[in-house]
Amino acid sequence: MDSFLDLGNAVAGFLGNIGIGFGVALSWQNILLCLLGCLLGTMIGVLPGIGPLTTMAMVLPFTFWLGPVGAMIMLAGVFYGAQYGGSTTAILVKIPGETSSVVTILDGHAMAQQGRAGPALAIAATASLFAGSIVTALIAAVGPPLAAIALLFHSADYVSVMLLGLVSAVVLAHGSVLKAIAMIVLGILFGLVGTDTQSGAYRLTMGIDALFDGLGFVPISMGIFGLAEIMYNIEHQARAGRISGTISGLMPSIKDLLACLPSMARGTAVGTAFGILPGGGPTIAAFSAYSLEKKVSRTPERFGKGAIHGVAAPEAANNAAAQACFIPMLSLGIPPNALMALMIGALMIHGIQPGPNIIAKQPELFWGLIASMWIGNVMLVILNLPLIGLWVRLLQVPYAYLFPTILVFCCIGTYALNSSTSDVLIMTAFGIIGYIFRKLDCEPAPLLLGLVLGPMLEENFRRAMQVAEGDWSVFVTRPLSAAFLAVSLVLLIAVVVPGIRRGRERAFRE
Amino acid sequence: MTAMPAFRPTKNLLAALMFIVFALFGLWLARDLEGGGASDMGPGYFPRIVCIVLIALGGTLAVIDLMRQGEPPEGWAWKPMLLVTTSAIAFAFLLRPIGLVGTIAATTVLASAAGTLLRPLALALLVAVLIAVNVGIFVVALKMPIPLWPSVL
Repeated sequence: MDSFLDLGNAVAGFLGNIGIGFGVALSWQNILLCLLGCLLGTMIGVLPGIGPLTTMAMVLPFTFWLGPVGAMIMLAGVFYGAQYGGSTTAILVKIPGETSSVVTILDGHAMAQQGRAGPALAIAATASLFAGSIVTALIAAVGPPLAAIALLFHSADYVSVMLLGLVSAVVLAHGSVLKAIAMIVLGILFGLVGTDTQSGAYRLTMGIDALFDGLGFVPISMGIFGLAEIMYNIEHQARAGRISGTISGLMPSIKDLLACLPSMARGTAVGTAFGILPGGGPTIAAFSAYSLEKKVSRTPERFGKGAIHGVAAPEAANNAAAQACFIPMLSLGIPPNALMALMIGALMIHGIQPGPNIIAKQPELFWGLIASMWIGNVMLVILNLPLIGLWVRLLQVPYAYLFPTILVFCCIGTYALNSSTSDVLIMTAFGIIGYIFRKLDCEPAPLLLGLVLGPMLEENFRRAMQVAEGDWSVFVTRPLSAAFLAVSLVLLIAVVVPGIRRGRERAFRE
Repeated sequence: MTAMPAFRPTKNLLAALMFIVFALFGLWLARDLEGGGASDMGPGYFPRIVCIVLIALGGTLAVIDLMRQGEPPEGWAWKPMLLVTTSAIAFAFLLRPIGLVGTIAATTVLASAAGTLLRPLALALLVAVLIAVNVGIFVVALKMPIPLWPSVL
């Protein structure tokens, strides 16, 4: 009976919180920001040569003027908007806006070639909305209890859970795991530059005044994901898209929709699991959903030749996974990927320390963001279908116009944040460093994770060791911490064992 | 031209070298920072751990790569890299003396030279649009104190 009452209370509390969220998200300013973010995200997802990371890095300085809630709402909009845009180009021109829409090409582009681009686009949008709505509800339900658990963590547990987060992120990085780990550590090292918060000593600053406050998150990400991308893309001449098939009859038939419903549900389940589970992500989720769909299908031979289920399932899965990765970010303060690291960077610009406290201390932020994700998903479907013609025309914008524009925005955005020309120079230096990374096949995304988590890691590490009076065994004697470390170790071993590694490489080669 | 070197470093070897160089530089910069003990860490304790871990990772990467020959790195495109870099540096140094309008023009033209050059008219149009948009956002909407024109005027 008691537990039943508790459940009733929990539901009432949940509904109350959702109410707060919609109250925040439905203010005209936040609706506008959500819309702006979604549109910008879609546009960028469509344009060749600019990924969501670059865009979010470019939007970051602007969000400084918005206040934390507006900033998060807009950045999240850019993030899932880019997912939509990415699948649009995957279907129409065979260019995946993101690696997570690579699978969509297989059947989506085949459909487009058969003149069924409209239904393919529509089913992709519907599947994303379906998945987005379910996962948003899940974040609302799971986030608070998870954060409540995390609040019980001691410093040692927190260190271990951060290590687990970093290891998980690395396990599915492209290419060499060893390099990805080294990139994280390098990011931690860059994060150490500046004033030590505990002793006030200047560290690794080379005596340069501009570095006393540390290497900013914005100049580093703009340099690596803005300038370096431009250099690399000019060299590899970003491909101009060619549209195949005419787009007519946008709406999928009711029959198509009903037929795809089970695929969407399966895709959402697979995507959510991969989004939350350590080591998951939108890309692997989309691949897994696709192969699952092929296995359960009664007509597997139609896959790759324009099967509508082959669009619905991976699109639901990548959107589900993309949104599910907000769960560790919002409830634990641990970014599972570089995009979430950027979101945390945005919070830190506003002076909000990410971590399990966010939900309790900033309810408007957490619930407002969740409500806005719901609204944004709906807006995307409503807006995108009529706007597809515009997106298609955008695709034909030559890169020669794009990259000077990106460059100017990177410069002025970086400058504007602190009115600092040294930040522009730091950004430039990281442009060169980022270009070297690209040339040496060092995936730069893990570096951002290290950069964001580094300071938190050090702080908790120092505190844990202080409490334990310098006894290193504290990390294995505390059960929680030991469990996190054990899982990290298992994950690492799993990657190093050849059989699993081969499977993983196969998933990425496609 | 000199003869082809007999030993061509691979991507992974160069990456390992890069990690180690960064770490050694970090150790050198942290040389005067007080380390302290494990129970009472000074500002230098954690940086040293990080650098040592990075050296270990770089070393492992190098050893693995030497055991199985990896790919050599692809060529280095100097022109886009230098021009993109120059245009960003130009932005940093021109903004205060000549103001936003001239700076955006210079940055855009320099950047544009890094890739396929636009026709003069198209370039002028791009410059005009970028100036209008950025002045609109930063000076008019966000009211940032950025000078528009050279201060001498």
